[in-house]
Amino acid sequence: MFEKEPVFQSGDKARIWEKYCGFLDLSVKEFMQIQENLLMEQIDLVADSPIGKAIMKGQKPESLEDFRKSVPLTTYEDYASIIGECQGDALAVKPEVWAHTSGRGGGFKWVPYTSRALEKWGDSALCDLILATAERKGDVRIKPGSRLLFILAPRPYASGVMSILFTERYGLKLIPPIELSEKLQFWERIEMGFKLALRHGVDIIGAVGTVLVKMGENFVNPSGGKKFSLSMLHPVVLGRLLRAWFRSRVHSRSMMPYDLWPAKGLSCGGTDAGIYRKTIESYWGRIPHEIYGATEAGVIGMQSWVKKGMTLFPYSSFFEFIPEEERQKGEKDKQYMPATVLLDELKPGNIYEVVITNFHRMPFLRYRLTDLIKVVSLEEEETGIKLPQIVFHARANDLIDLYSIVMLEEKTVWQAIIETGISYEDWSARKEYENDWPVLRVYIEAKQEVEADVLEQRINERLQDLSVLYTEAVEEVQKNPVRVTLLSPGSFRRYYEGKMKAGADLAHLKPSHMNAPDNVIQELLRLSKEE
Amino acid sequence: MHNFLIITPLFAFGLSLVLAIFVLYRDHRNNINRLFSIFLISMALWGFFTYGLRSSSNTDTALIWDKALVSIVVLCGVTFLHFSIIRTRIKLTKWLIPIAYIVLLVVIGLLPSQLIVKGIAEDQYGYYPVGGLLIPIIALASYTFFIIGLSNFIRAYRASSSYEERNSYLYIIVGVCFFLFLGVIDLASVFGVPLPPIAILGNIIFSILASIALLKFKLIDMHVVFRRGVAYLLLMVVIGLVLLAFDLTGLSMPFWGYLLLLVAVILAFPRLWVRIQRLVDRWFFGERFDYMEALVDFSRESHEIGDLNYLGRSLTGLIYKALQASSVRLLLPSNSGDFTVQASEVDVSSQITLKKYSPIVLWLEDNKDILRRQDLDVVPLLQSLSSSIANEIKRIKAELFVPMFSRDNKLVGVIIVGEKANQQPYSFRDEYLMQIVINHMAVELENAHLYQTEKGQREELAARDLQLEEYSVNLEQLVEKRTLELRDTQDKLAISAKLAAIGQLASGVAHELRNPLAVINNAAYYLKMVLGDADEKVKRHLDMMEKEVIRSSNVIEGLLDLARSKEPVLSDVVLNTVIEEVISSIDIPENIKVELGQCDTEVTAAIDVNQVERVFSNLATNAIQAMSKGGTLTIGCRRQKDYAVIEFRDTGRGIPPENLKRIFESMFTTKSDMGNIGIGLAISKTIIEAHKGTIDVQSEVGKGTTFTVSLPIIDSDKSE
Repeated sequence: MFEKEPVFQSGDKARIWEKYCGFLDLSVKEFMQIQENLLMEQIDLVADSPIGKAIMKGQKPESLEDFRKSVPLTTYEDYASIIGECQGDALAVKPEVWAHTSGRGGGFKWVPYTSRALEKWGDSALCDLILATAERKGDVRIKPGSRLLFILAPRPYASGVMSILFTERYGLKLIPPIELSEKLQFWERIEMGFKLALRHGVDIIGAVGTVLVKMGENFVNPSGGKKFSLSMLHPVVLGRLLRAWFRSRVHSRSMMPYDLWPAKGLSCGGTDAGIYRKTIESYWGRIPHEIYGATEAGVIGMQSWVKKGMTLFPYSSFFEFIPEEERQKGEKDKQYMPATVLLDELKPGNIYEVVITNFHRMPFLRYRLTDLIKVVSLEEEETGIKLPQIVFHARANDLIDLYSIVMLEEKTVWQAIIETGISYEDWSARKEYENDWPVLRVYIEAKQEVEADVLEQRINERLQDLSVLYTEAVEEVQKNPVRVTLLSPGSFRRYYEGKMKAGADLAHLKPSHMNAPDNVIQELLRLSKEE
Repeated sequence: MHNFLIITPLFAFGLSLVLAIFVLYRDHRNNINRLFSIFLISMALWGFFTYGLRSSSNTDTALIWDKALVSIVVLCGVTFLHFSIIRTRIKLTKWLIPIAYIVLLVVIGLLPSQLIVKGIAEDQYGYYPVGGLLIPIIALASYTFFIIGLSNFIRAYRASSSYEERNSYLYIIVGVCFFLFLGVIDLASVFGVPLPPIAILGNIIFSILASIALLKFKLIDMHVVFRRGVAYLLLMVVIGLVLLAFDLTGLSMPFWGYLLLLVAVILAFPRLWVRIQRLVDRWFFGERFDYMEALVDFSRESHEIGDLNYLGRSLTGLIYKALQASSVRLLLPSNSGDFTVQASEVDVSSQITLKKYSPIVLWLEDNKDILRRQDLDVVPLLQSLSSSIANEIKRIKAELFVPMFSRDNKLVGVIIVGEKANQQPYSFRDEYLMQIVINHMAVELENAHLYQTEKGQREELAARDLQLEEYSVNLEQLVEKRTLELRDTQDKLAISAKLAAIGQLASGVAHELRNPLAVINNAAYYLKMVLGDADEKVKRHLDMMEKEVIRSSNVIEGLLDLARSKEPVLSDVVLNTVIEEVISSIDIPENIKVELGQCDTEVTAAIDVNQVERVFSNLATNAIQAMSKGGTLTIGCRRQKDYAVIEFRDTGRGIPPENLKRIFESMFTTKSDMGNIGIGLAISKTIIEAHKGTIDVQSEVGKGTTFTVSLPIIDSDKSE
């Protein structure tokens, strides 16, 4: 399906770095130049297509300013009737492949990919792997044949499409192999992946942070992993085990996952990578490298080799940003069209909603991802990157509004729960009302004995440490807004198993952390009583 | 044989030293250059110490030279290893280089002892060292350093995708292999095997191959300096050979004497220099040397060529041949600033255009260097190249984008070179060749382009001047016409205003005077009746009263007619009858003769008879009044095309020119003494114009006046 990418195949490290990671050396002006070039080409390419005509109302903007003035902001609803269930007729070009989103907000969103877009997306994903393993600028440690332990969702999720690109376009060796991986359930895939990695070795691990944490916990937990099996008698596996044991002895500590799977880098998507940064590093010996993407946009940004702020990737989408105050105006008045700013207008410390326009004949124009990012700085001194540095802040739909003073996002609540020090299985939080008074209700399955009111107090304290606005809100109302409902052990597991049995999709196997709907919470509570 | 063994290390010394100097001269701050030159200097010292050893007069001196030689051999290995790591960027353990230098220091430290060199022996080839206990370890360490360095270059060779880089590494690899192989032979003598000590030849071979790697394949960034350097080196070799022949004749000379003579000879042989430089260039540029010369000649002569098309065609043609390219295109900026094809060689099907803000143009402007196709996929800015341009580049198989800059560093052109006819990549030599020519040609092309643009602008300007002139002439006429029209309109407006005022006045006057006049007229009539037998004098006065009342009434009617501008009620009338009617109705003094001049009978016009009769009457009356002393009034009527032309010609006193212009103005009269208020001709003109005709006057003072009335006639055929 994909031809081999020649620069990566050449092994010329300088050229590989320049091609894949060279964008980190761009100035803001050059970044904007690239964005504008690709945007104007995109307008040319899609203006005459049915979808382009529908979204741009038959107009063909002549300039960037014209584009931003004349084309309205869009959401998936604007495209649903046109591309819906993989209908490619209205597109500027026949798509190479379709993928869908997790469907957390309801139904799946199907997204077509053109071959050019896939190539660029593949390039950005490979860049992520290069940066995940790099220790300094120009440091390329992967090559065709490098072993990638890939524990992400299979096709038709976007990550599954990515796995095809990794093998076909770049010649990476995926563990477990795609054909085997797609037949396995999620946890089976994880188990098989690590087993095969023990046999064949691993160069990079691509996974969500939670999986790495779970695997690490299981490994160090005396009752967890490290079970004997016959496959351990294989000379290679035996050799690895001995080497791992020797290493741990040399450093006078217990064996850790990184002794057995000494990966050169960890590539992690999702909110949890940042939250579990230190935990992951302690288990896997590497700081996780965060990548931020969306099915509709491909890779949006990623960290550099120092693994701090993320830099936006210029070749997949044109970026606009809705300032927080504009977004809130739009929330209050649905008719209001929020104004956007461009990359060169971002201000450090501010939060923005990301608006993307696809390049390479992809369909989405001025599309609201409903993702919020925070600009941490306008450049990264340590690496010499001259572009704004961002972090993923939250999904706009996942915010919990408390007293109209603070918008709590998943990351903050999660961090607060972790910092309580309590061991837990999983959690879900939402806004509820108690005597008409709004509260933050946390449903949590603890792995240890703990009183709900103690936990309420601890979460409240941690939230106050993490959010100034939350502190102000609490001081304003003079009450602790946190309420904890303790779920019985195994509640989340039973929920997961029930969904598996019902044939639910991977993304719906567990309750969402934020704003889970009533039926999900009711189901959790029912399962909690089943103990 | 003895002379050979003496001369070869000296030659190796000279060769390596010159190379080292050139490398440092190019960029002494560059770490790679420094390391490579240190390595070359150690090679040179190897040669020099070998020369010292072989030319020693006794074993004690030879031992000193030999110990120095051993340390330098280790230094060679260490510096080569260091250079290989820095040049190839291959990562090895960080301890390797420090270990290597420590080994070197240890060797130097142990030299005074007999652990490395025990003594000196002599055989048929001269002095050779007797190895100590550590000599096998030292030899092994030196070889290890060389072999690790060699393996670095082999790995780099395999990893590199660059044609130049791979070739440069290959030359180094081959050179080191020779060096190591011949080194084994020298080592054999150390261990007592009687073989000729020819390792120094390895140094020479390595230096020559390194020169090629540097020169042809850009091992380190060197251009003209090195090309010149090789030419100097060859010159030295030629002269060296002469000196060797001189030496072989048996005449001896001290070493510094040779060196000074060498320099003197180099400076004294400019002609030889030119020939050798050409020889090097020919070697450097291969079979394309002739084309290159042609290109250079062309670029030299091109300043005399002002024809841009010819210049462009010739340039692309020569580059095409010199580079053996599949296609060459010259793109120059158009008026919009976009770069369009001005001339092309072979493939003319593609009219590729580079927009002025195209990433390629921006890159060329910023980097001022040749852009290679393979870089399009790699350079960040170029990754935003539009797919249409990228496809076009792919389609025309463009390989090189060569920028042309003006004297003020402005991008004035781009040459797009297609892939080589033999599909091999372009080498550094090719690019260098392009740069030589482009540097010459950019200014000439810019001049030609400017000249052509300026010429075009001049022609355009001339055309515009002509157009402007035409416009100017036309404008004058137009202005005149419009002025006349404007004046006419103004006149009409003035007349209208005047008429409106007259009309208003006339209405008032008529209203106020008509009744008293009627009363006077009635009274006069009554008096005439009752005074029927009154004397003649009373009767005459009563007649005068009636007459003046009628005249006054007529004046009032005329004023009212003038103000009203009544629309004519048209009917087809034979004009002669109207004329006859008018003549019969007016009083003609006896001293005036009325003649009917040239008259076409049956000339018919659509006229309001009453109005036209009034005109004719006015004209006839005026003529009669103008001939107070007698004369002839000639009235003519003829057909002239579609008009009936009626003339009233008198032989009266004529009208002075100053009055002639105003003759048709209302209230203008020269006969106020005759009770004329100056409305007759104004009314006549109004009436005739209402009939879509004209009325003109010609007059000569003392000879007479002619009024000419033209009225459109009815053509029976047309009317049908």
